[in-house]
Amino acid sequence: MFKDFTSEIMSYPGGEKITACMQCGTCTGSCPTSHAMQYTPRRLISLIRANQRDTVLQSLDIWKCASCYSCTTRCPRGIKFTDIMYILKNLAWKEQSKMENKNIAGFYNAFQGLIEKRGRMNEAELIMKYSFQTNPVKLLEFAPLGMKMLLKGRAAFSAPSVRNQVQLQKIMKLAQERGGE
Amino acid sequence: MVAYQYYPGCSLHASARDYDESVRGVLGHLAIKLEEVPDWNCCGATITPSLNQLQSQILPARNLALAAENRGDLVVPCNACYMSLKKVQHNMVKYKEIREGVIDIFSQAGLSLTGMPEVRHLLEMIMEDVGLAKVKEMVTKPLKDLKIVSYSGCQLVRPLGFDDPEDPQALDQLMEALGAKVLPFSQKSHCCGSSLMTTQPELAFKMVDSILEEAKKVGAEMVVVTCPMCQLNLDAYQGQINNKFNRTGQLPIIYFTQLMGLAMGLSKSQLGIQRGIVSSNKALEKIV
Repeated sequence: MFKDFTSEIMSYPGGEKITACMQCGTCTGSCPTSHAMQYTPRRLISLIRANQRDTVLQSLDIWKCASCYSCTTRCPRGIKFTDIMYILKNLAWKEQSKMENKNIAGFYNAFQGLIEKRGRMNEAELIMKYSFQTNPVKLLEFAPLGMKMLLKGRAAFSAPSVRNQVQLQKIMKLAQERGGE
Repeated sequence: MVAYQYYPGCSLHASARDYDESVRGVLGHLAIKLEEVPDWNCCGATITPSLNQLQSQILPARNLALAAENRGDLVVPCNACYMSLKKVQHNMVKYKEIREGVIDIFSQAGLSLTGMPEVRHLLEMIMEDVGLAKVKEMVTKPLKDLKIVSYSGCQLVRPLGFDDPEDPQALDQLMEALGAKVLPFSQKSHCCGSSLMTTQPELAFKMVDSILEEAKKVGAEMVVVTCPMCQLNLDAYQGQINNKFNRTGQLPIIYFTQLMGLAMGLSKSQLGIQRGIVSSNKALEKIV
C-alpha cells in the first residue's frame, strides 16, 4: 500500500505539500485551539513524518480543529493543514475503534445520519438525536436554550427534507461505497 | 430586475430565520430578485468533510448541478455553505480523481453538471454588484452614532473567499455607508468555534468570550455578523458564557442585512430583529 504515513497523507487531495514543512510553528501560533492540544499542528506534522500513525489517529487533538483555515492561509510553505486535519479525521473515522470520545462520535454520527437520510439539517432534531446517542441528560441542559429559540421562532420541529430523497440517498451511498476517496 | 439564484442553507430555514427574513426584505427593497435553488440539500458544513471526503464533494456538487440548470450567479448568505460550495468547485478543477468521481456518481443518479454557476457570498454580491454608492443612495435612516464592530468570521475570508483574510474591509465599508461608527477590532476574522460549541464547549466558550470581551472593551453596542453559525454561537450561548466567566453586560449580535434594512427604512419585524436572544432594542433606540 503506502511506504509510510507521509506517503499516505500525500496521496489525498490537500496533503501533497506536507514534506515542505520547516517546523516554523506558524500553524500552531495561528490555531485558536492549539492551546488545548497535546499535539499541536506543528507537532502533528512532525509525528506524521516520523510515521507514528496510531499516535496521530488516536489523538483527540485532530477533533479540536474548528476548520477556520488560519493555518492554511498563513503557512509560508503553502501547506493546507486544514485539509490535512480533514484527511486525518477521515482515516480515524474509518478505523472507528480509534474514536473514543462519545460526544464527538455521537455528534458526527447524528449529523451525518440526518444528512444521509433526508439531505437537510434541523438543529433541534440534531440536538435531540445527539443527546439520545450520548447521554439523554444532555436534553435537560439544552432545554432552557431550546425553549428560548422556540419562543423566538428560531426552532423548527418539522423534519426538513429534500424532495428527491431517493437521488440524494443514492449519491451518498455510492460515495460511501467508494470508501470516500 | 436583476436575478440571482439563492442557496439559503439549512440554518436560514430554522435558527437563522431572521437572516433569511432580512435578506429577502433588503434585496426586495433593492429590486433584486432571488430564486431559491429548487430542492437544494445541506452543504455538509465541516462535519461531512471530517468523515468522508467524497461525500463532502457530492453534497455541494448536487447543489451546483441543480443551480446550473438555471441562469444567474449563486448567492450564499452563510460562510460555511459558501466555503463548501467554493471548495468543491476548486477541487473539481484541480483534482481529476474528484472530478471523475463526482461525474461518475452523478451519471448513475440522473444528475449532470452542465456548467458551473459563479458562487458568491451575499456580502460579496452586495459590495460588487450593488455597490456602496447605491447603498448610500438608499439610506433613509442613517445608523447615526451606532457603535459597532464588524465580525466577518473565518470561512468568508479564508483561502477561497474574498476580502483580506487577516483584516477584512468589506463589512466595515458597508457599515460606514449605512452611517454606523465602525470601531477598530482585532478579531474580525477570528473563529467562533462553530460546531465545537456542541462537542467541546469548553473550547468554543473561550473563543466566543474573547471576541465578545474585546468588542465590549472597544465600546461596541453591537457585533455585526455575516454567518448564521457565528450569530448562533455569539448570541444564543452568550448567557452561558457570561455566567461561566463572570462577565457583565450583553451585546446584541446582528446580521449585516438587518442593519441595511433598518437604514433603508424597513421595519424591525420585517427584518426579524425581535428574534435575537440578546435583545437589540436598547442599542437601536436612537435610530428607530
